[in-house]
Amino acid sequence: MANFISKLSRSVYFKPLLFLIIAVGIAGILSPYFLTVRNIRAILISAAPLMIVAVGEALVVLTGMIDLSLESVLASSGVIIATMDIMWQFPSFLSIILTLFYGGLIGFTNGILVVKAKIPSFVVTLGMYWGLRGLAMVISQGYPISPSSVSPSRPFTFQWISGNISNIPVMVIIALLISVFFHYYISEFKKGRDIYAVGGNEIAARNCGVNVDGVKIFVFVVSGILGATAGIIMTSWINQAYAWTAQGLSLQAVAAVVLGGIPFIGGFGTIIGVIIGSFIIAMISDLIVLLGISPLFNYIVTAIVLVLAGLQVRRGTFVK
Amino acid sequence: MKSYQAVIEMKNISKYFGAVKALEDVSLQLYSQEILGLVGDNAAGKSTLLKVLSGVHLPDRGRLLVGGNDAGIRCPMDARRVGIETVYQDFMLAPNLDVVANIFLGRELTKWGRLAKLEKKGMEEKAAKILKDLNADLGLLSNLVMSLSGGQQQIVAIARALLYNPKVILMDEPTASLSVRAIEPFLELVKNLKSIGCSIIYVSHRLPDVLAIADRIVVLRAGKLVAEKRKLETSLEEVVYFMMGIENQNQKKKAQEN
Repeated sequence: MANFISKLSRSVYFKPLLFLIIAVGIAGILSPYFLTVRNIRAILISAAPLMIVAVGEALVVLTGMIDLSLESVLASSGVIIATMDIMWQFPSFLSIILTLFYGGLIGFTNGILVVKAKIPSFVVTLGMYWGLRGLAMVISQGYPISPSSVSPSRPFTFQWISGNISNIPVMVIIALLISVFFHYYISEFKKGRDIYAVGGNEIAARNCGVNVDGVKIFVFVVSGILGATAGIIMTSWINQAYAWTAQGLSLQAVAAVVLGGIPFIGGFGTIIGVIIGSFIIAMISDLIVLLGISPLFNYIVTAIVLVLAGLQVRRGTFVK
Repeated sequence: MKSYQAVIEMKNISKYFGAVKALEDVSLQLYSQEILGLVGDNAAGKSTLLKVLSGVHLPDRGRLLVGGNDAGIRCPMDARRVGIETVYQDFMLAPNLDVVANIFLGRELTKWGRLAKLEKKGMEEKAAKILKDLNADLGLLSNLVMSLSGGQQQIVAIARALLYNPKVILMDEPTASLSVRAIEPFLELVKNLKSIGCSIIYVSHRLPDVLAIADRIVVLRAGKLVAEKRKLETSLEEVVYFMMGIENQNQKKKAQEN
């Protein structure tokens, strides 16, 4: 038993799981409505876009970089797919593919600027953050694009994404599939090992033949595609695309990554941890509503939880 | 009868960095199962020579033969391909990964073709075998490298070098990050590498260590090879004189008087 506990406490899943259990426990005590199927379902729905972008953010942070452009990729992707769907009446699959391709292209551009122009990822993606908000503004002319933007109004052809499959929301299914896939991929495949190696010691990784530049471009491309995925989902869910959608989501994703146990220098932590981190962030706003506290306190509570969570990634600071 | 086949042959190698002649017309052979001690003062060209061999630098002039053929080394991976491995002073390890992952860093065993799924079990077994051959006990192979001592990290670095049966291992100041206690067993380990068929070029500032394990000693000074001695034919004193450029008897006397 002692052996089991010591093994468990050394497991990479230990801290995030402990966090989740404590958080859910506290929430359950505070509000009797928290642990109802209906409420958990609501949290999962509101967490789904965050989970998806947080997976992308996690891959980038694992290598020791950061992606601040995610929320703008999300917003611009929403505007782009809405334009193709409503204005140009493209078939659903085509506009989805093109939007995902757009996200990948943005990620590729981020990656190339970091790797070839050697500009720090913070600067590159901060630029992309503004640039893509601007792009979304220009395309949408500052107006929301929704089914009623044309007359007669026609619903989004990808409206099914905000539906259900046997009472489970499709967007939650997508978010979980993406999470499980990337968790498995980076723990069992060479590309994942390379990502951890770059986060651990970039020079050693390069020296040992790891394609460091390729890894960096890869994580940005994945991050971009996931940002676009979240953009499509969000557009379907709120039934409109707006240039200022998802403000602050990039930093929420970073928060989820830290809550999930990935230190800023990268190299440690898992995707499952990040999913738990996203869930906790979504849970906080849910709980505030359940408890009848003014939603204006949301940010303050999130801030406190995040800084407390920072305690668990301290170890990272003296690794290198 | 020991074979005197040269594993590596450097012919008139020169390397310049702008006006600085880092290596000038250096010719050198490394024989099979030999430990070659490479010494010299700072900026004598030791590191440059190792970097030429390991593919970090391309020589400006001269030829590099491995096993009698032109090596065609243009990058570190080329050097590995022809069987030249390097153990660096700071070990080049990823502290966040475990022992097995570090031994296989960049050269993991994989399946499923280009998808490259890690063969974790196969890597674990092979790592365990290499460490057993080295007589090294690092505890659990799933321990993170950051939790190991300097001496243990050194062993991980050497195990990585041994992964694909190299002909030659280059060691650049390998004892620099070791505690005094860890040096003795390390030198023993280096000697044992000879018996499994490796030749070693050993660069170190610690001359007693070099004299203890090298079969032959080469002295570089200001980019030139100034002496090449079988260990039995030389002494610590003489090596120091060569390093400092005090070769004739008069100068020696003067140096001793000072």
